[in-house]
Amino acid sequence: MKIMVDNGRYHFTFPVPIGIIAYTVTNHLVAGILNNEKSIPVKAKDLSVLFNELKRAKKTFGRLLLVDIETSSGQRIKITL
Amino acid sequence: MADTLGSRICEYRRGKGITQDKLAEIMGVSSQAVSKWENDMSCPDIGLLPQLAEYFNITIDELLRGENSKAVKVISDENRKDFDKLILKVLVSSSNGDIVKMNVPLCLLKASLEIGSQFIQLTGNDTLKNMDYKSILLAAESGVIGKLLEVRSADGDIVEIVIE
Repeated sequence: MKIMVDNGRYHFTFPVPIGIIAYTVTNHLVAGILNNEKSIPVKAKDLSVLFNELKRAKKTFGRLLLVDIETSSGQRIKITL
Repeated sequence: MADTLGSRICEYRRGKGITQDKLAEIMGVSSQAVSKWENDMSCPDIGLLPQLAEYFNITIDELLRGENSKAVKVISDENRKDFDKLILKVLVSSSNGDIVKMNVPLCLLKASLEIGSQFIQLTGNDTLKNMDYKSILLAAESGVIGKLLEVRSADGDIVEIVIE
């Protein structure tokens, strides 16, 4: 998975390996971070279901563009599977 | 109006509220060329199709085949695409020029709904906040595909939801 951020002046691409995020330790880590935000209460077990589904989707769809946000000011965020 | 490539270019151009001259300027062709496209006397160069589709916020497929390809259809069991290969496409085009496109595999949407996540609501659009995604999943599982929703608000926001 790749997250690309472009604000006109700077261009960043963050690779997020799906194989790594589907580990149990990562699930607990991400769930802990999200729970700290209070607004997104989620369990590590639930995240594991989501991440495994993400892995399966990657196999089916390859590099699918999941999200493409383009603002009127020229900023752009793309999330590719 | 006949459903031709020219008529669609004309329709999308008018939807954008621009003249043939302006479209010609954006595409780097003469205004006569745009006029010929719209009157089906000639077709845009193949290299211009991605540029045209991107400018009109549509896919090349939609530009070439028209809206009919998005019409809601109920597919019979034997011709139905595997549920895991279906994608929910969401387009939010706000009047201030912001555009959000999402392609969410339905299997992913199903998993996220099962854990109670609301990740699809990240656009903050009111139409999407009140959307019943469980019903959309149910419709997809029953073989419904195509454009399920198209909302054009008075202030110019456009929301489209398509199952492909």
